Amino acid sequence: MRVPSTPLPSTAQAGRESVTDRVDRQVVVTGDASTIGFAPRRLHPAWIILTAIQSLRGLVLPLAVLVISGGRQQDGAFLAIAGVLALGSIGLRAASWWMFRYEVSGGELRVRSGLIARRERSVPLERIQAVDTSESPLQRLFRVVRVKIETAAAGAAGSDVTLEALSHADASDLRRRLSAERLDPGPGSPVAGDAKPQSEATGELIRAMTPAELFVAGVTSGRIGPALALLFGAFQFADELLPDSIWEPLAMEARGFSLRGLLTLLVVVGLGAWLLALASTVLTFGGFELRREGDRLHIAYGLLDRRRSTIPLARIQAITMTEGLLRQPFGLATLRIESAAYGKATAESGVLFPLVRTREAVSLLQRACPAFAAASIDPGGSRLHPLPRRAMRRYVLSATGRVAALAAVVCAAAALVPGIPWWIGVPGLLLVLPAALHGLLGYRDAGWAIDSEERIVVRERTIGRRTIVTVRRRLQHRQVACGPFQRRARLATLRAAVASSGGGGHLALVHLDEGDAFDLLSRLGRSSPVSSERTPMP
Amino acid sequence: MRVEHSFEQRLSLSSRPAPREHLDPKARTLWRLSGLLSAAPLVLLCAGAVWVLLRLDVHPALAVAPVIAACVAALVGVILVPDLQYRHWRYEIGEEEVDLQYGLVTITRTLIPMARIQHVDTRRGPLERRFGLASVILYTAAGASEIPALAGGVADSVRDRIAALANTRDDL
Repeated sequence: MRVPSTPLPSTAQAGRESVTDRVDRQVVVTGDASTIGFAPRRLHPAWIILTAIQSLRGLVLPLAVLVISGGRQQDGAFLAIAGVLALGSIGLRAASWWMFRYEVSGGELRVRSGLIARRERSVPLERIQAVDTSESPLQRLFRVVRVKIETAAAGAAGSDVTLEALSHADASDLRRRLSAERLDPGPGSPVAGDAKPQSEATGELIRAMTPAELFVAGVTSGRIGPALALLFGAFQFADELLPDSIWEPLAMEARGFSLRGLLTLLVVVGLGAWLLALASTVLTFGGFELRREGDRLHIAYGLLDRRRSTIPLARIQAITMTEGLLRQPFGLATLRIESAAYGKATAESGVLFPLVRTREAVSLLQRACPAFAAASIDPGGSRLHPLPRRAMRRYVLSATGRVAALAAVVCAAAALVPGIPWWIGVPGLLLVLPAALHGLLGYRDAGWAIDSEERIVVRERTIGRRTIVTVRRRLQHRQVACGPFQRRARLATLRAAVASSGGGGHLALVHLDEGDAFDLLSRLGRSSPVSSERTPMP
Repeated sequence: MRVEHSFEQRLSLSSRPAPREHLDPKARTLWRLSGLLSAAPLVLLCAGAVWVLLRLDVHPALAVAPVIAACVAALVGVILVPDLQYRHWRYEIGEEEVDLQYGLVTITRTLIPMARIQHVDTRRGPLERRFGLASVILYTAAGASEIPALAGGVADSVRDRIAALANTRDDL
């Protein structure tokens, strides 16, 4: 059978093709829409105000600067123009609010929008990967929530459907619809939507985060990097905004610039960043709750922005357990879900549980998603298959070699530039020792296991230690690579990947025994290890 | 006594013999040509850099270094790389899996289950068309893989075979 030259076998309906965007240019009278199934609905009118405020947010800084620097002379004409613009944009928003409708019918979620170019988009319900609800303080003020429907269209921007403002009743109705129709296709009778506002905590509570855990999670979060960035951002903002008269005395005082002053500054900034990291973790993960209802997980978290996501168990591709440097000594880790949803991986998306004792991980997984509850995920438990001893030298050498090479490059570059002594890179060699240690740890931590239920566990270390659990049939592809040096030592690198748009779905075992690697390559396949029937090319 | 096998022998002795099919022999010429085309701007750029360095009174030996490096890289890219690539490239379209083996220095063996393939494309670039060649590109939910430089007819049949074998079930 010949397939047309741009073949889309029926499997190709998945992923990229699942979300069909049609720009419908003919004018369709949408005023009186058909009333089959779940009648088209509009968003909550608060959407107009919410999006207006959101778009104003970008103007806050220029406005503030204008008011502070421009003093009092306000132009009548300026105000008039601003007023007209504001009114116009509100009008436009109201019109686009009017045009935006969504409906669930015929096993699809349909969204129509667009003022001039009408856009109609339909998402087959079975392609939905997760349904997330979130509410910011502003949305809470208007008693609305934001519902995001995640599909598996990896990377394709705008393929997820976001309903920015729904009333609580509408939101829970929609969620019910989405899950009900998936189980029972066809226009069923509308499920009575009981409008329990926001605390529609259904399902068995698997675990909730205690305040103590939240605090520990914040202290060990390692989110200092982003916090520092934020701090510097705030600093710059203050620099722009505040008049020079405030800064100048400070600068005068700082003239007695000393090592001690610098150290104090470093400590203060570091402490500030750490406190900020603590605060952001507490705000993000406050009130974390993991529930399970039948074949789906409900995850809710956040103090200011309350988020809820619903993930069908069948959509979970892998579970990763990350032990950060600060957490590993205390036996603590973060559990994450890898799935094809969550295109942009933010720090908190896909978190199954933010802080758990590694000893408890198995029992938590047993209750949440038993398919991934491999006993060997616990580093204190059964030992994984280790790498061969001859791999250790390579781990250490490659880690130290990288540092040494970097130092050499710095030296060479310094030698070329007049005025800088060539040996400036030499102190970098001090890092060789920590690098060697890191290499050694990398070797010791790496390992793999396959259990009787075809769960694959792979552990590796980059900075923190990461353990990934998946099942054989979730693997999208797998490969073995042998470099020239590896070939001499009969080592090889095994890699595999599950579908994960966040990029966390890769597993790698570097410097595995060559025989083991090829053996695993076969064992992880679909068929029995030795497939003698090999069909030749057509 | 244990017999020492070469890597190639070990590969074919492993539980899964190396894939059988080779690329089209014209692949080497194609890669040489495209290597030449992509190296040309680099060499020109380096020549420009030499000119600038000479004007800045840098030692001539130091100044000529980049252009020599670029020429060596271009020669390697045009002569050695296509040869090695061609020698190492193997593929096989099995019932259950697509089996690829390729690499320059590091040899990589990739297996893609048919059931995971989302869709498959053939692509003919302008240069490939000149040679009557085409590439087959396989997409899974975790990325794409390519079988380059197949004769046009072979590429079409490979594509159709994969499309027919790719399972319709989707449990993403």
